[in-house]
Amino acid sequence: MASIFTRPTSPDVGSGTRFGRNGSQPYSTSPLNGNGQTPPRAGWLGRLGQYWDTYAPFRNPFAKKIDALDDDADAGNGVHAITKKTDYWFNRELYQLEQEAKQLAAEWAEKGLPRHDVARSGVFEPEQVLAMKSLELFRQWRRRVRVKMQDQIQTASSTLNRLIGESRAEVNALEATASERKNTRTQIESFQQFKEPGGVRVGYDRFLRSSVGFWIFASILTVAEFTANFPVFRLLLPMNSTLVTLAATLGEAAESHTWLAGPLVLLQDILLHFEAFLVALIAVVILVLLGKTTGSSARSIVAFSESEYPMAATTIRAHRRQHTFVFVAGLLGIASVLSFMYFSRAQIAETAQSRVHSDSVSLRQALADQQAAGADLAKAPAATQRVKDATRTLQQHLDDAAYAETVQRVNNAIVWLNIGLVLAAMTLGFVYKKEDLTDRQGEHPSLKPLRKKLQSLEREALGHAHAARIAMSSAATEAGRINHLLESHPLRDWQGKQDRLQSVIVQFRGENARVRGLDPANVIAFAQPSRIGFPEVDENEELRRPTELDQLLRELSEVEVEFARVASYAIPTPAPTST
Amino acid sequence: MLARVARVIKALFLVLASSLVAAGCGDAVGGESANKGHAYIVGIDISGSRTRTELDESKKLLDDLIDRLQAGDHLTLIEVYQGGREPARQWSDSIRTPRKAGELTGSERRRLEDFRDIARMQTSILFDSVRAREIQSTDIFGTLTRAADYAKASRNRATTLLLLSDMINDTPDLRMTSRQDIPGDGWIRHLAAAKRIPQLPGVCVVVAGADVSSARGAAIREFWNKYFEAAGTRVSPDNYRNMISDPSEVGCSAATDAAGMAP
Repeated sequence: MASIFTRPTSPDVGSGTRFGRNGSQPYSTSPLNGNGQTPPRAGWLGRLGQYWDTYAPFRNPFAKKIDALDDDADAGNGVHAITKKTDYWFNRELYQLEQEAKQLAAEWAEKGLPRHDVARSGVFEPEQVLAMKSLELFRQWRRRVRVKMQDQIQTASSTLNRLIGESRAEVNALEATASERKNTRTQIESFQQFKEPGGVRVGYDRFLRSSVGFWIFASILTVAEFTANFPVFRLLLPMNSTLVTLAATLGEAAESHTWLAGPLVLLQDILLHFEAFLVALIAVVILVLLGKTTGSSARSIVAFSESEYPMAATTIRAHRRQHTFVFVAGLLGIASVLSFMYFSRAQIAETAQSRVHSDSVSLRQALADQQAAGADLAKAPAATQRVKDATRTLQQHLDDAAYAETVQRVNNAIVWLNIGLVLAAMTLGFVYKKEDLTDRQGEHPSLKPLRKKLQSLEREALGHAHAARIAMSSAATEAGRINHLLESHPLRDWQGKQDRLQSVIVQFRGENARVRGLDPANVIAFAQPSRIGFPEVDENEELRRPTELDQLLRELSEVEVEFARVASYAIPTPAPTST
Repeated sequence: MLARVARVIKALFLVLASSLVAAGCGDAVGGESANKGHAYIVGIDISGSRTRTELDESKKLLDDLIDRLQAGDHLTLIEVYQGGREPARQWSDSIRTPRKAGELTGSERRRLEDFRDIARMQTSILFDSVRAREIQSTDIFGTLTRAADYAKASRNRATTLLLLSDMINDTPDLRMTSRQDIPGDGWIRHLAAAKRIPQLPGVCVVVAGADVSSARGAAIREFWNKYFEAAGTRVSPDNYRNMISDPSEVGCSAATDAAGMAP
């Protein structure tokens, strides 16, 4: 029978070191500061530190505990990262094998086997089973390590290929961007040199050329608007009783002027209702002014177009921006004034009615005073005079109330009249507007989008260059990793693995003797050598080099050269800063 | 553009200011008038010696006279009688002089109408029939004294004293209830010497309601003629009447004025 026990057991097995651990003993609590001593803590401060470490109240229960000595935490892409799981698998299998050895040892010990005083001629059966399993485990470990390394190399090769492709695509895109930027610059230069033919006037003339005509129409509009709205303001802003009496008196006096009575009464009414006159005049003037200004701005907005005068585009835009503001403000002002007038007219009936009510109360009071005066010659005349005055005022306000109700009924119609007059004012402003923007400082309208496009292309070029650099750098890293893996010799630790497996038999014998209360040295059957015959491993055996690796390295060099060539003219440089 | 608008607004204000100045000048011109109106002093007697018809006639005459009042006129109403513990009442007021003579403005017309209405109302109060029953005396002399005071206050106005009375004085001092009780010339001279006769120079005196048909009435008229002469005026026979139907007759002709009103 071929002996599998041909190699000596590693002397580290029983010493508790890494190579001697077989899974049956816990890790030692040896000091970790490298000098074999537990770092001392100084006096009470040290004890306080220990308590703090133990009972500190602010620990994050969810924080991931980091072992500063754990090399697996930052495994990276090296050999260790690849073989880490295989090592773990190996240790787990070894542990199970050791457990099995202990179990077999106990079972055999219960039967008193092997007999301590009888020498055996062949290999003890349980030991043979354990030796075969150990041999199989070692073979599997070797195959796994090679396959995993080879897979990683192949994967890295694929990644390298992909990165080279990306680099090449980015370099091509960078070159295409450079070409497009060049074309765009050419277009910009040509548009900058573009000149409009001389003598082209940017402006327009008035439709209505006569200033006299303008002022006549403006005056007519103002007078019409004033005449339409003044009575409303007259009712809104009542006079005091003295002025009311005077107004009535003057109105009667004007009767003697026959055909001039109408204008005279109106003029007197206007002058007597001075507050209402001022408010109405200001409102009407503002309304006409707003209408005229809005109309003028409307013409400024619609008259010019950048496409018709490309060289005056900037001026036209600024001009239109200002007039748009004026136009919107004018419209809002007109809407406000018209709304004010509309709502004022809507409530004058109530206002007039309230005055009638107030006058009725005054009249009743005057009548009561007259009754109280009775036959008193001194008091009766004054009381009677008050009754007469109150009666006249009431009559006047009754007339006003009737007028106010009429106005309220036709309020909507008056609004349309006001709108019509405002539109007339706007039309007047529109037809009387003239402008000349010939003294322009513009540029071709295509320049702005072209400049934007150029900026966008420059940003794209920088992005392509950055991506190309990243891809090439990653490709170089990947190539270096492949070389590193190829020269890593991952089977270099084969001896240590074999030593671990050798300890399985030793553990079986020790456990068997311990259970039986014997010294293993006193068991004659254990006197035979316990070494398992593992196959020799060439630790310098090379991993298979990918066939396409050389080609990929050449392509990477070519891409780098191509990038250097394109980058020399395609990467935009920042504009020199003026100091 | 703004400069043009400013010019337009300036022009509007100039027009407005011109209108105001023109209106102010008009007021200044019409503020004082040469027409100062006429002053009427009316003595009202509703004593029991007068019949209901006479009272109605007197009231009608006074109402008609009030209707004829013009802007600038002055009216004074004086009770001739005295009733109970109340003294003789009186009321005096005037109508504002028009700014333009002969051209009344609306307010002046309205003021005139108001004045007439109030005067009619005062007349109604003074002709109160209830109060007539309480009358205890008829003091024509006292009324003339008060009228003389009002006449002096009327300044340059033409003044007419209208006595709506039967001219029978009935006071404790002098009762003209019978012919014998009417004082003679000596009594008047005595009063004149003592300067106890009120002076009414330039005042046109008109009497309506007096008895002109009986002997007593004639004696009373004779007495008053002499008394008014002592007072500096005179009552023409046409102005000493029982009844005046036309208010335009209340007044003195120019010839009468020239003859009788000189002091």
